[in-house]
Amino acid sequence: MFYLILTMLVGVVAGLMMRKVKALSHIGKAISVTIYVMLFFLGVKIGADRNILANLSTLGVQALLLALAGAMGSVFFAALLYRFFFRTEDSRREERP
Amino acid sequence: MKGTLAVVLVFAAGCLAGWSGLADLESFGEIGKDLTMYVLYLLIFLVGISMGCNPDLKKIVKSVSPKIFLLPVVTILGTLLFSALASLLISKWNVFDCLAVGSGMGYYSLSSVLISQYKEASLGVQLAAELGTIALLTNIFREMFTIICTPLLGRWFGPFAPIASAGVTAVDVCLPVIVRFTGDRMLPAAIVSGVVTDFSVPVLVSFFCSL
Repeated sequence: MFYLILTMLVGVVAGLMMRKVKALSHIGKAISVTIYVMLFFLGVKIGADRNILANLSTLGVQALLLALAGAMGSVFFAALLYRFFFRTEDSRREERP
Repeated sequence: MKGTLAVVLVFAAGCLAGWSGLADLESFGEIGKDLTMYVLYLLIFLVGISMGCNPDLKKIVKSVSPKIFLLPVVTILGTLLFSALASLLISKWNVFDCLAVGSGMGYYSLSSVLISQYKEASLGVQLAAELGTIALLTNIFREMFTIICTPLLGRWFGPFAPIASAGVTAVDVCLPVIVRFTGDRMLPAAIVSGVVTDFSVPVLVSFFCSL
């Protein structure tokens, strides 16, 4: 966790120093490609684990239920938080012609 | 929509490659084991660069207010409340088992290991391993759900929704997706939320395991 944040800070400093480099405007594409690589590896790990595959049907349903519950619970309260504490100042800042 | 399809296809291709043995991370030895970790660091480095060369960086840093710490708090409380509700539908596990799984907050590697270890004494080896596997799957699913649904979550429930859904992964794996679809101004919120929930995982998981 510490090294991850450190890596990001090094990146920020590098980005600050290379502000004028034109090629950096394509950094979004590089990020997308890296996401795809990581997703592929996540798939490889799951596909290669015979234990996970064998139990996927029984454990998977329970896991899916808990995953959706956890995600939707946090989304529900985060939506309320944004609506009542953040939206007004944010929309003012975001105003576009 | 095109992006979502690509994500699903790439992930499915990875599953097939791993299952068929075409791509075998183990065969690369030590490097293979840590390969995904290196890619994650590369990803985070790239995100750092995109932050650094962003002309609005000063504005973003200035905009971090103490109020933003409410986001990880509601993220954790919302997850726990709905996990407790979900436990009513799962007869096999009691409410504290489900709360322990939910407290993983997307951190599947840590939560699954912690749960299978902590629960061994009370549940026995096999059931503890099963609950650990559920924790692994639950939190992988949560991460996948967030990566796939971030555009929709952002549109329907506001820019905080994907950050909350990501939990811990708002600061690493899901960060690039979140930034891409909710804008650079959500970067501080995502980092603050990810870091705070990260600290909550070991504490909450061991707490609910001991109940």
